Amino acid sequence: MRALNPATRAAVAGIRRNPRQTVLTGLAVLVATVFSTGSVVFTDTLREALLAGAPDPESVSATVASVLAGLSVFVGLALIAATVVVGSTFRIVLARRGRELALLRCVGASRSQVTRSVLAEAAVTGLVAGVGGAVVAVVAGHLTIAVLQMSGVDVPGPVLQPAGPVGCVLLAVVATVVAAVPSALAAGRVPPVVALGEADGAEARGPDARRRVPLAVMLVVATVAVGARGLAVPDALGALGLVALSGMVLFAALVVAGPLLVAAAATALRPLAARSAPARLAVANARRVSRRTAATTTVLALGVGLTAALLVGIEGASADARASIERNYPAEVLVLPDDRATAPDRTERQAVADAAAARLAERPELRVRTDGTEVLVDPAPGADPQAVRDAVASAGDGAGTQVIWTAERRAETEQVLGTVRAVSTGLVGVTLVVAVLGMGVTLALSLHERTREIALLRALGLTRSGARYAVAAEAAIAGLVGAVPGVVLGAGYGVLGLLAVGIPVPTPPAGQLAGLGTGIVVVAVLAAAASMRRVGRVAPAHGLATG
Amino acid sequence: MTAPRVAAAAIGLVRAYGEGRGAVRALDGVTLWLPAGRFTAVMGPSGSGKSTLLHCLAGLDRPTAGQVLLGDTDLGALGEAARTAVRRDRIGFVFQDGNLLGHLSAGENIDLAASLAGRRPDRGWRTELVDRLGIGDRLRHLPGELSGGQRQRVAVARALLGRPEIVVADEPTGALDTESGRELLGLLRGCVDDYGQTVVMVTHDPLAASVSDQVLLLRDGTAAGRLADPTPGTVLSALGELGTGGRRPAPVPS
Ligand SMILES: Nc1ncnc2c1ncn2[C@@H]1O[C@H](COP(=O)(O)OP(=O)(O)O)[C@@H](O)[C@H]1O
Ligand SMILES: [Mg+2]
Repeated sequence: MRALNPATRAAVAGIRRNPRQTVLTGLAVLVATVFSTGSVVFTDTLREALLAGAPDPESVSATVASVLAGLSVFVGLALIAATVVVGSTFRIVLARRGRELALLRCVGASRSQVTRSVLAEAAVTGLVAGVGGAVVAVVAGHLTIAVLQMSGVDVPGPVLQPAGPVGCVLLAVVATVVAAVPSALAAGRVPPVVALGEADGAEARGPDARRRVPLAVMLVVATVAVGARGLAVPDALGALGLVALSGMVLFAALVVAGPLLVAAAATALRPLAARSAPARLAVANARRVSRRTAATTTVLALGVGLTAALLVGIEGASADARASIERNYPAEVLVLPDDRATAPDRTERQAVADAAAARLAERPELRVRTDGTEVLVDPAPGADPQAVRDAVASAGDGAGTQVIWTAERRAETEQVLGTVRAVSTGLVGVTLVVAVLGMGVTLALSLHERTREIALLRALGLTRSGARYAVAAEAAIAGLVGAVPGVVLGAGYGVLGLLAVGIPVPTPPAGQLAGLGTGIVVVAVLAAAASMRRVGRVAPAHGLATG
Repeated sequence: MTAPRVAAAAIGLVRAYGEGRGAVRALDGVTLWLPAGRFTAVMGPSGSGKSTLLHCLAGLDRPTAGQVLLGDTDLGALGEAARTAVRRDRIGFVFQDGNLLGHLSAGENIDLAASLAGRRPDRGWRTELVDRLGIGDRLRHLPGELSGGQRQRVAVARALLGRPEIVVADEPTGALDTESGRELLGLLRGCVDDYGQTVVMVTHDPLAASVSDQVLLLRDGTAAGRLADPTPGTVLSALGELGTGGRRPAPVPS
């Protein structure tokens, strides 16, 4: 401690004295680290399990490597989301400390000393969040496996190689420090005079449209160019990669344009809020802190967009899989000569098929066609399903034939699709969780900053429920501004992805998409619950008391 | 009073905010000087430019025109990094309440400038200051655990530790009760008398100003007089002559 410059020492001491804020600041990174460490532990365990089952080291490491590669895409997305969120929380936390930073500059701290102190604080925050996340992931992994083993599922014991979690903690530290760089530079630029005056409105400045618009336009152009190139590439995987890249560039464009979009959305919503004072407050606040509102809503748009793209993609893939079943299985039941039985040459197979067809055709419950050596059986209109089963069983089985029920194939396909849906929702869901957490944390920190103002409003007659309602409305606005572009753009990218890999585009799953959008707004309001409780407790006298 | 050395001076100092028609000259050609080893109070109606003057004298703000001299150094000609070093090594600050780092102990706050410069504070001097200010048993406490008067005394110790050329104080008693305020003024007076410290203090309290050796009066961003060896009575009547209307400075004709 002694060797640190006092700015850094104060920052680190601040972490020790106010751990809650550190945890809040690092929460998004913590979640991302749980995810990354979990992925590493999972692949390590998977490798051991595969090696124990089929000791062909080369194919095992190839499998594990591809699983890890797939996972790291999602880990990367979650980390990017966490970085944006943490960057935003740092900005809020430092805006509140403007006077202290200015005081340091007054008594002779150089810009770089102040900047370094913020970066050191970020490193400590990242370390705390990273270690916390890694511990949670390792413990949860062990617990999950223990529970599975106790309930009789045959899973191998967990494998813990220190390198993985340590790497994930380092990643967390790096992500947090990177996230803090803009705030750290801004902290160095806080004018020392702020320490003497009352005004320090670091966040009060609106977004700079002159800088943001051209950059956003450039990024959108790049988005379109990369996306168009992606659709022109014949190789499916390359095409998908380019479409994904185009999506990321679009996300960057959203990050740049976000504050302007939030301000515009708030302006657009103003007429709706005209009748209620709390709603007007909410709109005004979302607009006033449009930069921080935007930081969280763009991350939300990323999470929602990924989910929407996934919904559309899975819808397309499912429709494609179902269509291919209908193509390959033209009847409800297929009766074929059994390859495993003695049916060596073609005439003999034909004879077996014909015999089966004849037997099946005798049953009134069935409609029978033949297609070469395949016997296609459909139930007669109005036939009892159980009678159909019995009929097929008694007439079709044995005698060197094999019966395939299309319904079983459909069920198998649906099961695979269900698994894919569940796993990918889980992977994408982490980003969504980071985004919603980020919104909750941002709102909580913002309100803390506004306590005096809220107290004043309460003193002037804003009711307790009015104050809570204003918070809920602010959260809902943020949710809405994140959810709407997320759903629209995400669904668009789902379609692009399908086009890229050559799967026919389905009618979009409108119900699910609408559900996603509404769900997010509801969750955003729920994430604000803690803040609502707090704002309700602000005493009207608070604004008049402490200076 | 034999003509003492000059610790700091403003020469034709102008500080304008904004541009064009809306521009405001917070300081409009102020010339004054602070004698070394003396206690100077700056007074004037609200908005007359007292804080702005102090900021310029302390290297916190750059003049729009004119000069600010600290010793032989023209502060307006210095770059950001050099001004930072000047603040750290040659100026001490005492603000209104609340300007200690909340997460550092009183002792660490006192050592702030020295440790920012990577220096060890002068132990003997530090002990003497701490004893004189009566905060020896409070050094391990956080600012939040101290009374307002104790916090200001910690701030005075911090300001004096580096033996700065001037100590700058903006309404240092503004947030204190009468008793603590009088105590603090006595301590500042003592530093001037016993250590030869130069102090400049902005205040609107005639009683506080009467502790000083000279009162400089400002009105509408210009120097409006000087009062040597002030008493509460002479300060009050001087302020009365100034007019306490607090007229805002006129916009600059463009
Ligand atoms: N940052 C600023 N921007 C614009 N005007 C300012 C700023 N700071 C001070 N002023 C103006 O300059 C004048 C002098 O201000 P100040 O030095 O704070 O006066 P005092 O401390 O005597 O009350 C006032 O009219 C004030 O409105
Ligand atoms: Mg002032």
